Amino acid sequence: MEETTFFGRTIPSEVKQLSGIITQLEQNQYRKAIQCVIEVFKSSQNSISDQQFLTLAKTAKCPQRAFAALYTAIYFILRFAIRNKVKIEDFEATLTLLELPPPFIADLKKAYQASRPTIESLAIERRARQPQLTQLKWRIDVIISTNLLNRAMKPLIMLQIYLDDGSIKTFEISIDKFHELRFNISRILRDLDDLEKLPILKIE
Amino acid sequence: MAAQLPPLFELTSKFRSCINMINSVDTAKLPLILIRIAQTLHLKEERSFNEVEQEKLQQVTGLSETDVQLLIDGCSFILEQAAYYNVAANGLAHELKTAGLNQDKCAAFMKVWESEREKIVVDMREQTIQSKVLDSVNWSMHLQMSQTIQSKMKSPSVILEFTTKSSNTNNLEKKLNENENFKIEFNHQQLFDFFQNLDKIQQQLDGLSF
Repeated sequence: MEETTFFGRTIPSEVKQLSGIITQLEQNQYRKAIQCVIEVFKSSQNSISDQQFLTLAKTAKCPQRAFAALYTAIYFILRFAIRNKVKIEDFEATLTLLELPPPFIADLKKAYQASRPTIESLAIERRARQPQLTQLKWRIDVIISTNLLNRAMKPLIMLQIYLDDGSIKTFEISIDKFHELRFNISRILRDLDDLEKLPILKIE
Repeated sequence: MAAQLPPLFELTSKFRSCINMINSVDTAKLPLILIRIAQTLHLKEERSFNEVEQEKLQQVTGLSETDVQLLIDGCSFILEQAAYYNVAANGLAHELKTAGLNQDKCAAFMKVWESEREKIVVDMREQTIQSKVLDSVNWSMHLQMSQTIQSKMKSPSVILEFTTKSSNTNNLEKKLNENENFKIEFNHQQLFDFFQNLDKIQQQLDGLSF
């Protein structure tokens, strides 16, 4: 009987190896590894540094190769689960299927549940984006006269936009362009509203 | 009363010689010259007639090079003053007559001024000293589906691309004055806040009345 795991079609080999070595390891050893993986996810590093790994292996009193396999497997399991937003029952079911020891599964489950909201919000904060607006300053001028016209009476808007990459953009807008800008933005907002109401977005 | 206002044209000796020059030109050709000058009046750096055209003008009017330049300068000055004070066509004709221009030439000026006046004033109002003017805003709306560490997101975002143009028409700097593009990304809430700011500006604009 084939049951699908949350890994998709094939279980990564790193995870398969885990069931072989896990029986030899004690709870406090893999607990430390789990904690470490979660911390790496929360930090902005992409992976653990060599130094950290060696100190971790020493404190866990575990042979390096076994510990490396353990760490990698835990990393894979949690990464997959968080990325695909796996439900907790499916998570537990798959791990049981892999024939991992129950206390290990319980620890993983706890770690997964506890850290999931934080990591998801961090993911949204850290994604690759264009510069964003941090501050907007504006002023309206009326040009009374110039060297060309004695009575010009032209209103003018100046905008100063502060972006989060540190740059400041200052420019002026004529009244016509301003109306065009405002119209376009209200149209975008309406499109956004329509988009968010679409059923496809409601599927979780 | 017209008598109370200072005359539009101060009768310096140079201006008087301009008037004489205009008087000597064939009346039929005058409107064409004037219309041509009117087209570039708002651009201080550009000449109304380039060199080739100025030579042709010399041949057509039979005047020397300096005289043709005097003619062009005189007509430009008259039109600039008229635009500066935004005078009525009648007023202009009257002032020119007082300054000594022949009747038929005054009529020619009046006719050209009537037809070109609005466009000249509008073009002049467009001129600005500020360096950057917003030219256009392009936008695109995205729905981000996934990223490195998170799949199955549905996060809408909007990117606005502002294109600003430099309004400095100095020929020397033309090569440096390129359009500047910058992009800003907004999510729904940020765009809404931006829009509220624009609304505040609009309220202020509505309050202006003159």
